[in-house]
Amino acid sequence: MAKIAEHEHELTKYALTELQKIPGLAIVGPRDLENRGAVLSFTVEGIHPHDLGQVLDEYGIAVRTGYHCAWPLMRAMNVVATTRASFYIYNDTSDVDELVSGITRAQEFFNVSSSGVLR
Amino acid sequence: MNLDSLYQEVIMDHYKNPLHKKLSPEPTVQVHHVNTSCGDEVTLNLHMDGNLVSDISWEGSGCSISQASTSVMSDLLRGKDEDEALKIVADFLEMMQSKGTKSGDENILGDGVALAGVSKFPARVKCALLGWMAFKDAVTRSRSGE
Repeated sequence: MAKIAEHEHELTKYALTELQKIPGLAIVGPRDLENRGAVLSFTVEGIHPHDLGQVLDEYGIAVRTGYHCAWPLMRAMNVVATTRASFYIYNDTSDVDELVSGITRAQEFFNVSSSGVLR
Repeated sequence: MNLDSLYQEVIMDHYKNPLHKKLSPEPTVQVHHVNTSCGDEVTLNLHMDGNLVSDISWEGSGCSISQASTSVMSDLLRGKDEDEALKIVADFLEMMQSKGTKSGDENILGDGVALAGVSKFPARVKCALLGWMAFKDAVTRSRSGE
């Protein structure tokens, strides 16, 4: 179990770093590994989570989108909904790279510039 | 299934420049609908002049499909007689529930036919119907004098 936890930690650390390089992407919750499992919720400016999830699905990337059965929390965080990716034993850093590239392609598809404004 | 069949250019145009997305004051009826499974929401103001749908305006947040579809609906149904408007809603509903087998009549549904592709994505059908169901609810309420 310790090895699995370590693996998850490594992936989460890598994902936190890589995801935050994407312009317009905001991580919801802690940005360090303290109190953070291998689950990352985020928003991408200018793209609704359902649209983002649809594009990621097209590239074979499974994420969960929406309220996550926590509507009051979404209100409290002042977000409409979020996109949520999670990692486990069968994932590696190439999956994170795929996720990052999928998000970038979604930004291109929806014509969202780096400032998050629809072109 | 590919993204282009879902996200037609017409849809993206309505999403980026939604029509009638500003609530007109003093409506005959105001309704608020939420798609609880995804969080899309719409507030719709309906102005009736006798049996005439004189104005439909709205505010809301949600995915591109829900926003574009509500924009199409608000532009298409204004100025129609309420029975005619409800008939168009029924036609749109039939197309959306067709799982991709019905492409819709452009003479009746206007830009709404661009949403035909959405009917192949079961998870997104509700997004497309949100504004239309809000309108139907508003008309029903205006009829019963609520």
